[in-house]
Amino acid sequence: MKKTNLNEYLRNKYGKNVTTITKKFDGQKVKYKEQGKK
Amino acid sequence: MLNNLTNFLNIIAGGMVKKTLSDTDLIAVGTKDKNYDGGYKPTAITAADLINQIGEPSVVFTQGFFDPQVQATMTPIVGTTTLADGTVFDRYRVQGLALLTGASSYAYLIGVVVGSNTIGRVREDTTILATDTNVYDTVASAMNFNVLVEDGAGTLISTSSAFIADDNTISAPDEHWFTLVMTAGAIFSADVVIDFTIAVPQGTVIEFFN
Repeated sequence: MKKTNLNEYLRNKYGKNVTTITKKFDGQKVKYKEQGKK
Repeated sequence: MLNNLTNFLNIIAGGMVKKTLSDTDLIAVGTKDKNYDGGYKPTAITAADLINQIGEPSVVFTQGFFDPQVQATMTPIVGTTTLADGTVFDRYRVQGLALLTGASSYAYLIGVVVGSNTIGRVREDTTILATDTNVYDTVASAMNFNVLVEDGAGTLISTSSAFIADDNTISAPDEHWFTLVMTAGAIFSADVVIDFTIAVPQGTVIEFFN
């Protein structure tokens, strides 16, 4: 199993740093946010 | 007999091939000893002692990139699940720990399992351990078995307040974002011991990132 973390995986696949991803659960906006980012 | 382990003729012919082990069954072992020809002396261990010694594999959690409050890992486990149509699934166990504090609602990413459009959830052992909370008081309970359903507008809504969502609509169908979602009517704190098992079609290579 690779030791790559999620950030490296997303960068390798999508060609850019992915620092924020949003999704709605139960009408509530969920933000997956890199540590230290606002 | 221990010195002639490859001769199974008499065992098979005598109908002495076992299907299950008894605790007191002995299994032959070679123990290193330079005083014996070949460097090993024949010894044995009981089935019960061997099983106890094997135990569960050790795991090391990795802190989450998006949500450092969660640390987790995924490990393959032995055994398969076979459907009636002959489809065989391999199993993987996701374990971790989430520390929740200071809010009434949480949605923390546990990790992303990549590599298979099809992923089934075959076991759920996650537990909530309440700690100094306004909502629960010294409660340790099994995780609710809740579900996500889709409303008329295509939005995911939950039937209750504590669940682990498997969402593969965020980036790609083979990228499953497993997220711990918990909501209560007041600010609460909890330690959540994450432990669930997923199954994927045999031969599929999956990876876990967090």
